[in-house]
Amino acid sequence: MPHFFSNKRLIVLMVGIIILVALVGFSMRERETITWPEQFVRDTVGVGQSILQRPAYFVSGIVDDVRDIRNVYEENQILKSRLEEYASVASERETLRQENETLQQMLDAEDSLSDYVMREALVIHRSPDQWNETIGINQGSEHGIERDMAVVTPQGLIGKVQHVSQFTSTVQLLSDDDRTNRVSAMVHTDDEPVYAFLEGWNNEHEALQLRKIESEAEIEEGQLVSTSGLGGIFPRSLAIGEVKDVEPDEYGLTMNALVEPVADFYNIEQVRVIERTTDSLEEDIEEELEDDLVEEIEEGVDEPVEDELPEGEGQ
Amino acid sequence: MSRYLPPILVFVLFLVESIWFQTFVSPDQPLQFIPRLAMVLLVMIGIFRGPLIAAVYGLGLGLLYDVVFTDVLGIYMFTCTFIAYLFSISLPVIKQSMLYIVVIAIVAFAAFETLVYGLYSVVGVTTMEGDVFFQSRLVPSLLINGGFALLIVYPVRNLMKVLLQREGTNSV
Repeated sequence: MPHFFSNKRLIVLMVGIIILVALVGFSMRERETITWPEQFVRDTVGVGQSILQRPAYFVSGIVDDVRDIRNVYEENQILKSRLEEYASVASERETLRQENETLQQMLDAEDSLSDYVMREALVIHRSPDQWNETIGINQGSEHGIERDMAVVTPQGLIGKVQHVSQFTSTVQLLSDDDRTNRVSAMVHTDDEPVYAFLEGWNNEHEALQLRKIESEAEIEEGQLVSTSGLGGIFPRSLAIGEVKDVEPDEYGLTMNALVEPVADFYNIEQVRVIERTTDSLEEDIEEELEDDLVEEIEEGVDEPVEDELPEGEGQ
Repeated sequence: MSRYLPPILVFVLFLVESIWFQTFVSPDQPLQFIPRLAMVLLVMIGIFRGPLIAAVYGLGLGLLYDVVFTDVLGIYMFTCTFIAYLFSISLPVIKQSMLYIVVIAIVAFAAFETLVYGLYSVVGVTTMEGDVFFQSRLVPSLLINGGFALLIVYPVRNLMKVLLQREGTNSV
């Protein structure tokens, strides 16, 4: 390192540090979109990654196949026993679906929070440092992907779209250690579902953290957790996981639970990006509020109008 | 054309890193094996090409890391440039000895990983404890990157010698 310690180099180092701080400051604030040079770089690199990814999947697919063949007999036994249940479950499901349809027709409820459109995408990269739990997919704004859409595998929810560029986008996994990484979720109990927030990953217990559960709710181990659709972004009832452990929080006002995710966050190849078709709640409320406002002005009532929306998921 | 071979190789290794996790990592692994193949190659190239060129490559590589993988710009850009510059010790003694090259590459990797960890802790992207970082991340990653350095040191040295001879500038 003899070339390092001279005045000129130190000045360059200082300038470097200043640029570092400036860039970190610029990019740390909540950004809705990423700048076009970033989008350009992501798309360009995405092309190379797509090319390399396919043969890699092919090879790892062969390895998986070999592993599968060794377990075929045991799996076959299990599946046979499941198959017997399947017929009864299928007929029950069909009955429920018809019943649901009839009831909805009676109610004139056309859209439900669980309606969505699905798009298939291929995973093209994943951050090699395990600090940023993000993956890249080969679909972008050209294919209709938008920020904050839910991303699922056949097993369940894995994350949401964080940044979109023209032909690729980045998905933030549920396991990412980020303050703003929250999902409105619900726990299926015997009667009413219990609503709470999924807030990131617990490193110690290797599970997702479900927080702000009402203290009188009856949550038990093994109950299923899914999205609630109340956050205004995700559709209702995408599977998330199973309750693993429940404990009161540090102030004793609400409860915290640990949730074992059903989806595998590793070795993801294909994902589906989900666009909710129901309008988000906020727009409805806003419209209603505006209508109310107009009416009240017309009627000349001078009651104070609540102009602040109820705080949603962010709090 | 052969002038552009080193940066192209670095870029290819960067792509390999980005699919590494998808292909090789299984979920129930307590140890984290972080591949920094591009960085290892970059330091070796730097030893033959001199610190300034290494710093330029480092800037490019860091930019790719930052933009493609992370939400926070600047951390990798700074770290890659800094480490590439710092460890491009192009003395004739070192160029001759493969052992020195490997040792420098491994030390550079450790410094790189620790610096990124430090910066990320300051910024708040990670909350990993220092001893956990050392045991379950730095040491296992040192093993695979050290192994990779051993694997490529001979071909890289030969390649760089051929390139330098062709350009007729035997001593940088």
